[in-house]
Amino acid sequence: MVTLVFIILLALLAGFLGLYWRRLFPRPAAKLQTGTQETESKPGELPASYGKDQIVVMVKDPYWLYAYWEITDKKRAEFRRQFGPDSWEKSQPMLRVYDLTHNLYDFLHAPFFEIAITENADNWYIQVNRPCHTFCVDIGRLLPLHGFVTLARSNIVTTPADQPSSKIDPLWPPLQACWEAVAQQRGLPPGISSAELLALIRKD
Amino acid sequence: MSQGYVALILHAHLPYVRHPEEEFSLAEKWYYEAVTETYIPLIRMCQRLAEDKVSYRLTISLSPPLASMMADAFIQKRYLKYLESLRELAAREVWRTRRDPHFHPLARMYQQLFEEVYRFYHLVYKNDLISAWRELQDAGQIEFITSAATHGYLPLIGLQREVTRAQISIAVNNHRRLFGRPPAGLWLPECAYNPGDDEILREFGLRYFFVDAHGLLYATPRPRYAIFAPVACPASGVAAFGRDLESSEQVWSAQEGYPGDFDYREFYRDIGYDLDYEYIKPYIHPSGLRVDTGFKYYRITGKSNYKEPYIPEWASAKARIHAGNFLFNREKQIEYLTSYMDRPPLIVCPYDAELFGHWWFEGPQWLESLFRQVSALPHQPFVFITASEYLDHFPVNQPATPCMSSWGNNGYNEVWLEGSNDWIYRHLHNAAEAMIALANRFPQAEGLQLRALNQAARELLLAQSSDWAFIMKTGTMVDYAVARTKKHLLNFWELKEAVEAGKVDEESLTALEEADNIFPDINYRVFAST
Repeated sequence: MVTLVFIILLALLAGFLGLYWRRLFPRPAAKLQTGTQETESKPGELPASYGKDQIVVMVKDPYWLYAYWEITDKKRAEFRRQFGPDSWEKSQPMLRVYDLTHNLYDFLHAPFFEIAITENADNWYIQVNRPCHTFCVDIGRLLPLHGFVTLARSNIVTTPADQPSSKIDPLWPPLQACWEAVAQQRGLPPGISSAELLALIRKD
Repeated sequence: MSQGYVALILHAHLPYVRHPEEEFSLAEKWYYEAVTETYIPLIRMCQRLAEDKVSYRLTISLSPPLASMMADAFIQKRYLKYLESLRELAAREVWRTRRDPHFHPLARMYQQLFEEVYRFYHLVYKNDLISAWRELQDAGQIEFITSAATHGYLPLIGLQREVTRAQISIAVNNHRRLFGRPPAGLWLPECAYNPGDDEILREFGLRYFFVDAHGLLYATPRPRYAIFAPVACPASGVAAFGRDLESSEQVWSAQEGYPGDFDYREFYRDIGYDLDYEYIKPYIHPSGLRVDTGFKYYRITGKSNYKEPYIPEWASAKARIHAGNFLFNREKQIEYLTSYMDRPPLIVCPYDAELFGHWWFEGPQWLESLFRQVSALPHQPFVFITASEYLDHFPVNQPATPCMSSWGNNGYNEVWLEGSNDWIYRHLHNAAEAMIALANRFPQAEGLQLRALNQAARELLLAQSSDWAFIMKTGTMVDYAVARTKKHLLNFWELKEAVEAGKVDEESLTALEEADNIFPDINYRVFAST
């Protein structure tokens, strides 16, 4: 009888301990799957993802862009279905940066360059070094047999100028005196030195 | 016609900082200090000029969050409480320094200053600063303009056009509500221009905005007059005025500029840090954290940490000298340009309003002296003008598109997009997309649903303040900026889910409406796609 009570007490204690243990180390919350949405967030924290395949590119300055992206599990599964079960692991994540300056929307003919990125990265600063150029960025994966496969395509952005325009309106030809006054001022604008500015004005 | 024009623009802005839940808020203190040291001194300066019939012109941009705080009953009362504590400390300081020949006159100076602020704020204007601004507006020497609704950094948050439209539309409505007339122009937050945003400005009847010098110098095609005349954006006709480099540098630069003069008041020596803890305790943070009290008794003195007592007469004399120097330099600049230009040159001088009085204690004296000195000259070397007046005189300007630019470090977007703050844009853009979808999906909301959608719009807008990214970058009070960004976004998502599920909880909605009560007459439909 005493043994039985002891066993029951022990079982109860184990149960409480188990509960306590689970409270101390909660299991990761199950992912909320509602249609295409897979929103994950802890209370007080912003969503870790927004459940869409997206890449957004922003302009930092004439020379740098910034891109952030998100690829869903659904897209990964689709990729595996199409290219083989181990295709994700055997491919290299890449950013492909299209220069659309002279071929707007013509992705087939636009020049591009690629950046190999790390597997877990979800954002990247991209050095383009091209003021007044128009860019679009694809996030994708490079497969040994298929080449570059696009997962998502960004918005289109244009970098700003870093020097005076070479375009002159014949109705409003620049007044050299105004420009020289600027070149002689303190605190010149970014991207240009006083000498460069003067050389540029005098050239015209 | 005048030889040349000078347009002085003061941009006044603080983020929406209103914390009824806290006994003492460091963020609210930004507002209280700016009211005491900048806004009221500036209003009083304008009133004195008007009394003395000094002709002057000033463009003042009052950002919607700032104007909203001035109009908020809770903030108005809290400021009064703050002011009362300042007056109490002033009285104690006058007594404490009674035997000190250096500090006693300074304690008296501050006492007189704060007593005047109190009389002005509470006794004359009954805690309502907007009515004081409106009086100035009606007197006609100042042009009041607005800025984006929550001072959002448009080139970075404006991924969706609807966001920029909402920021502009709400700002214009708020201005009209508080000032009784639509704003003529708009101060782009941080002078941050994104080509195409001018078309949205046009839609709301705004005639002009300002860009930093290179925004205009690097415009396409190359502007004929460099920065000495505005250009008209080709698609919209909205005018873009470019900041003058030289006059900016003279006033802005802490080292080479006027505010660094050794006779001016030292900002960083404050009795909040210097005096005995027990004595100063009631006037600093309740946790014991030492903060600025506003009582600063030293002059800059030199480049070292050695400081000598402030001498107001010396500082005032310097302010007059510096005003004279500014006048002289503009006169020379205009004289030179006039001889070559086929229209009178315009020098555009925009500054942060808070520089005047708060950072540069003698700033308002400098400004007043500048207006008085120019008006006293027998021959006007130039005329002060507002941007609207200039456009009335010169309606035809060269068509050109300014380049994407800002007045932040290095001139583009890097201050608001770098390692410390780049993470926010993913969340801001996704929330904005969700807000646009809500506005499109529920075009005719009513009752609780309408209230929840309006509140969702407020929360999104508050998260979009450029200030949070800026604070993350500069590194002081980062936790606060992060918390504000997250709080407003989380509130937004909660409201969105409630609206979509058709389960809006009135109690929690009311709590949010009371906590984040900016833009009482907001209409969430401004986010709808057109």
